[in-house]
Amino acid sequence: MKTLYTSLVACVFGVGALAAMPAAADNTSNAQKASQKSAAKKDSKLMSTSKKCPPGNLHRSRCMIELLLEDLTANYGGVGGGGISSIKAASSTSYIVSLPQEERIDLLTYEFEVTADGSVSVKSKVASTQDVGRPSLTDNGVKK
Amino acid sequence: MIVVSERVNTVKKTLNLPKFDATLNTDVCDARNNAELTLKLKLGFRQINPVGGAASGMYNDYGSATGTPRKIVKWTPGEWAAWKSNFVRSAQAFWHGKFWLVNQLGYFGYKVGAQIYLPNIWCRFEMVGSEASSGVHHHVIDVVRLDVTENWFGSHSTLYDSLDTRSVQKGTDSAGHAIMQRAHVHEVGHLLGLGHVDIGKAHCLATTNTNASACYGIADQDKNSVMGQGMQLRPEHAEPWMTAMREFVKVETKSTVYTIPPATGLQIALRVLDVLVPFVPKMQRQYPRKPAEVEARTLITAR
Repeated sequence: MKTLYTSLVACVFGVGALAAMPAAADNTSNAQKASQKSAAKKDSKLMSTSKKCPPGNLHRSRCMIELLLEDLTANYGGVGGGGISSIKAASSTSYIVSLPQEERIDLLTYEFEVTADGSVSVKSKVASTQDVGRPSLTDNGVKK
Repeated sequence: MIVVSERVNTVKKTLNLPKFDATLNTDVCDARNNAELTLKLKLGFRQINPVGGAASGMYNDYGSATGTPRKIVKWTPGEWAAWKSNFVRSAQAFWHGKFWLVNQLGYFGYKVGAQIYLPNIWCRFEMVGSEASSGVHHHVIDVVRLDVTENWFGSHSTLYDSLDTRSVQKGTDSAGHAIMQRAHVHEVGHLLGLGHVDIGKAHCLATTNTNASACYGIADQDKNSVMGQGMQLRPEHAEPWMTAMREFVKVETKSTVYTIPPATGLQIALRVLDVLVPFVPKMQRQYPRKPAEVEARTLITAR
């Protein structure tokens, strides 16, 4: 399962800002995952946009990523952050987009529907947050 | 542990609380001037420089091994001194002198001639910034100096970058207007113990991740809060000073000149609230009150 998960890591775009960082999500601790899950909520805006894609996994994944980028451009409200730090496949039909902000990383998980005729559409989008650990402090505030 | 120290021949006390030191000064009280409560936050600043003494290098967002690397350059003594000075001066100016705590139970009474006055509390803020390597600090703050080609770095409350004192857009209100914030004043709010603006609301329960984007405000008013995405202060941001006063009344409440009389009738319910919240925050200057004004719950904003 782990091999399959790793093999589905997103393709790297030619655009530098979209460089995928698979290690980031692979190294996410269980605690962080639990934290992400607790903060997750369904986005109310479900999209109906779909794309007809040529056969093959490369084209299918390209279509999924194009769809999520279009949605991000139209709907992501976070401004002032560090842009996109990774787009990572979480399964063969879902991608997680990481958008670093001060104190946190916004995560958007897109789930896609793929039909037999090759059309790809966004099935759902879930927003969550990865806490970027504030260091533990002793009673007098000095770093442990 | 709370340490109380009292200066001889003065009525100035300092409590060394976990997040800051708090000094209550009643020396300054007279018919027009309240007691002064100064919170002192001692920060130790530490340079993050490229490894091996290089002029430039990379450093990851949030100081995390998995964060995006950003290009940094070595601090120069002049840039470092200027950055620290600007940080301390601007953060102190933002938080200093903005709140008054209304003394609901008539603590700390004093006489001016024959007239008894009960002071309110003016909330002051002092930040001391020094090198992390010397002295005792409430927090140690690491700071990277970004290369001119970088315009953003992933910071948190104890890891800053050289651009964090600048005003940048953090959000947009419902009318499409930019909401600007200087990150360091928000982070100093955290260091004083304040959380994000929407904590406790349905979309940001205290039991969930309170760094989620919704916790920075959904409504325009909340987005504009300094503990949201903006720069606006609100009375509830006086909570660190209220926390300090809760500690002070445990050790210094007795006055030989005035004790509030027992509540009667409809006043009893209000007195219960006053005991729960003995100092009520306001963002308008409040003048010391006479006993009858305290008992009638009259606010004196001009005298």
